[in-house]
Amino acid sequence: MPQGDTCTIGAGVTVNGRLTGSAEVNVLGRVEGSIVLENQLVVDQGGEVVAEVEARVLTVRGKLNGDVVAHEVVTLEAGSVVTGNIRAPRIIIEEGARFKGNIDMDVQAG
Amino acid sequence: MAETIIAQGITIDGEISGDEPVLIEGTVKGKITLSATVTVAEQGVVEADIETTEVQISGTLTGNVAANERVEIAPSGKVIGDIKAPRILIADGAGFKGHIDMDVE
Repeated sequence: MPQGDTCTIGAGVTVNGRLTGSAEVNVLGRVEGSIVLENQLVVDQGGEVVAEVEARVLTVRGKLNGDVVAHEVVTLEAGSVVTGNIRAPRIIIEEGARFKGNIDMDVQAG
Repeated sequence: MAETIIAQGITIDGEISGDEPVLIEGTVKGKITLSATVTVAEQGVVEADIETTEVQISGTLTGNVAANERVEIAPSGKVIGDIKAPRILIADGAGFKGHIDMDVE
């Protein structure tokens, strides 16, 4: 179990609305609305997020539907299903991850 | 078991629903509808109406509570709102302002 500063949305729980703050958030349940975090968001296996997401680091093992802005890195791990547009300086899509949408790593043409 | 913890530093503005216990150490505004225990920890701040089985308050709650089992306000708890539950406990030191309904005929 993650302890201390970690915020967990358990498998049987749905949050509908705005989730904001500085702690690390781990979603095993469902979040609909918007998420704005200064730290890390993990959409764990079984977790489902339908929201606009802004975070420093985003890791997805579950399902995510929505546009994402991450200030450091986005990792779509094997088994994740993601639809939406992602903007981040570093984006990692592992083998086995499924994704549909635009990616913007702020690469200048030429 | 994956327990739900709304950690310190986190704010939820909206609705929380489900069938698992929720521990609130941060801030929740809006509405909580659960079929499990809601715990408001000492640092927790809740401005929401709560409909659930059981509520334990050690922090601050502003809103109406309807529990079908039990509501407990701990010595460090502070509640402003109406409470409706068959069993309601208010500990020595707790603060409360509002209406209580234990469904007494």
